[in-house]
Amino acid sequence: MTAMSQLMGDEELQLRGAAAEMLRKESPVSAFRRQRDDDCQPRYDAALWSQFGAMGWTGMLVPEAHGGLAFGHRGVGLVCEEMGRNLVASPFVATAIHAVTLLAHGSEALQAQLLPAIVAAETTVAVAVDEGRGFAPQNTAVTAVREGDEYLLHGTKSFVAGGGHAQYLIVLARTSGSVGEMQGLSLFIVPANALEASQRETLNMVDQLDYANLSFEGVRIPLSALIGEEGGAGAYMDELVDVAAAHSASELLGIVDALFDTTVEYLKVREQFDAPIGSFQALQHRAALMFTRIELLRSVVLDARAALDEVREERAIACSHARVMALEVAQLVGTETIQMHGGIGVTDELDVGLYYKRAIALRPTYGDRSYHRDRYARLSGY
Amino acid sequence: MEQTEFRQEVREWLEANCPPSQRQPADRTEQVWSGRDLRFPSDDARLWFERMRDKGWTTPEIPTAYGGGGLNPHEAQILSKEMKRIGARTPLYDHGIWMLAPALLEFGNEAQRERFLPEIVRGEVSWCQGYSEPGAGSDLAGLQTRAVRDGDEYVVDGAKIWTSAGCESDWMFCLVRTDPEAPKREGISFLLIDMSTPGVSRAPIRMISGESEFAQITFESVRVPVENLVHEENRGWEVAKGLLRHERKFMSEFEGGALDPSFTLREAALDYIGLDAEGRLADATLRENLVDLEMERRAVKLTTQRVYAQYRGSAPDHRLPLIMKYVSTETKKREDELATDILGYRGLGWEGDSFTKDELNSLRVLLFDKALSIAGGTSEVQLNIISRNALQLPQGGAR
Ligand SMILES: Cc1cc2nc3c(=O)[nH]c(=O)nc-3n(C[C@H](O)[C@H](O)[C@H](O)COP(=O)(O)OP(=O)(O)OC[C@H]3O[C@@H](n4cnc5c(N)ncnc54)[C@H](O)[C@@H]3O)c2cc1C
Repeated sequence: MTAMSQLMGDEELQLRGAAAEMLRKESPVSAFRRQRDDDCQPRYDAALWSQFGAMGWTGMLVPEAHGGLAFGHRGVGLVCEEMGRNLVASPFVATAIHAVTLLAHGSEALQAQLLPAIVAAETTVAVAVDEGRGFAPQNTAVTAVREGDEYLLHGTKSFVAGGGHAQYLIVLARTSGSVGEMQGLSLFIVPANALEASQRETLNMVDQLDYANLSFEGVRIPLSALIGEEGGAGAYMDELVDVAAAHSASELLGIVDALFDTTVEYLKVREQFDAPIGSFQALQHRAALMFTRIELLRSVVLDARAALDEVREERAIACSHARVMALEVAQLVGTETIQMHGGIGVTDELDVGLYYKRAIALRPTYGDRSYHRDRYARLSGY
Repeated sequence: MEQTEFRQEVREWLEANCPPSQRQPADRTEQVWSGRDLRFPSDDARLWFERMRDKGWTTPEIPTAYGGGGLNPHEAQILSKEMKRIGARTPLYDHGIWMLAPALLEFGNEAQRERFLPEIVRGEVSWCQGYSEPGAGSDLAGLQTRAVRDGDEYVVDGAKIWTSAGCESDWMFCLVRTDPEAPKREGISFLLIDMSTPGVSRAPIRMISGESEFAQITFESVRVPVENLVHEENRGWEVAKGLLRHERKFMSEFEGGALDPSFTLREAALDYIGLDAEGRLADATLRENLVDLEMERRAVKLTTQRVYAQYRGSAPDHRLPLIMKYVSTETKKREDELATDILGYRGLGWEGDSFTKDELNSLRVLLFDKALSIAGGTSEVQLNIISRNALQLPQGGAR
């Protein structure tokens, strides 16, 4: 842990300013609300996605050789925070973070084909891992069987974020071994149009974002669709777990900041018993406690991003820590914000509910609280 | 001087001057405390103290004119880190060092600084803090100890309580009421009292941990020369507030006392509970509690680093330091509770050879540390401060 990881440099401060301004202007919460009310498809703003490309955000994790900026996780994390703060709906996380992390293990040809298109925000990718109630890659039952110069896929992936509209899918499938083992897992890139319409079932989930169940039954893909080593995906998934944990924590931090600001403001303006409710000590102490939790979380999230950029030994610990704490604090601040607003807190009219729903939708993805607490314990030797 | 150069110089000097025996944790009996009867538990402790004193590094941030180290805060932090790196003992303990000295530098007059600071640096007198009274704790400004001017002297009557090291100290810096008619905070003065003055009496108070850390002090017509008034009469509250900041900063940096066991919780868990066949800590609930506690500690540590990094940066968030006393002391208490759970019966020994030193210490620390969230402003008071100063919530509602 270095002190510098706890401070933002000029470049980062500039980026944060730019991201905050752009998203506040182009994608305020009201835009997400409108999209939800009108049930727009796709469930993100395509023009905004192009702007993500123009701002260079889509290329932050992409090496310069493929047209990226290699700005790193500190930068990506800032964008995620601002996305959380404004409840932005975007293929950014699935495409520019999760897919890019996995594609780094792909062949030179695959990288040359996809990365520049991602940087230009001309394509979107979804990563299809989960099959059951939560994240458990070792239980992958979808198989890829080699037949001549093709792989034949069997089975169904569920709750795939971005799966309804992405142009490419990265699929975790079993090439050997049996359910329950991390060995024998492989990753494949599949063009979404290899699936029939009937093989994509779009889902309506609490956060009203794009999710789908995807059946890969009978889909054939060339050998070149393999990403990295056959049977070697376990290690790539572990890396993805770190990255996804750190950035979902960043997004949750943005959500929590927005909720807390709303709460503190409300405590100052709402009056009961002839006094602002924020003058009641019972509420003051709960607000102060939330503040301490949020600031501790911020330190941990900043450290997790830095640990990824510096490829520190401790990075898995740092990322799991950020994820556990972000989920804990988001639950606290989410429920307290609703409670401290009284009746209006449970109405759809208030944005608070939208934030709360986005926050709970982030619970199972790439490992819930139990998963990451357990991972932290194992990594610590107990 | 360049930071890296300074670090290098400090490192070399410590390497050459800190005796190996002074590079292990010191328990109470091995600590060197200031006082008129300054005593040393060993020749090495004396040697280490004298070398540090001659550098002024017993009080790194006091200007060299008064015998201190003359370091800026950043250099002082480097020194502290380098000492920690080799496990060097604090060469000298005294409440005057970390509370009174900064206050004298800020509010004292030149005569007071010249008289008191060199003694503090050299450990020749010990100080205690006389703020709290039986009727004035969290509401400190309600204090009643009276000081009435009589010629060149004040005559002091009243009682102080919870005074740490009150029975042993040579001098007390304290708050007294000089104007009972004025609003609470505007009638208070900051006075330095020689504890050997006639009329001062002291009684130790025993704590749940068995120690007598603090005392009750009574003043009966104690005569104090007016030159011992720091800052102006009736403006003692400003001094007190400045000093409290140092106290809270110190307490939030407090990384455990002299009694803290030498094991970490993780080591203790592996040792006392052990792993099951799958390599997991054999008690699943304790494993969960240990994860939570380790995460909490890590978060506090990272936040402390963020506070320091911000001090050095261009735009520190002034709200952030306000949480540190609360989060560090509450986390420490949780850690102590968990340690006791981990040790089971072995963590319940009061004294005797049937228990290891660590086991006995663990229990005493559990009991002593309950004071961490009371002394220096209770946790509830810290939350009041956060809600008022960090969140700017309106005041004056039901409490
Ligand atoms: C080990 C130890 C060493 C100490 N050393 C010294 C020393 O050297 N010199 C010195 O002057 N003092 C010292 N103190 C005293 C310490 O500063 C006081 O104990 C502390 O300020 C609390 O005051 P009190 O004990 O009167 O508790 P009270 O103020 O009576 O508090 C009782 C309870 O009420 C709560 N409470 C009080 N006011 C409020 C409020 N406004 N809102 C919400 N809750 C509230 C408190 O948080 C606490 O839980 C020491 C204390 C300890 C434990």
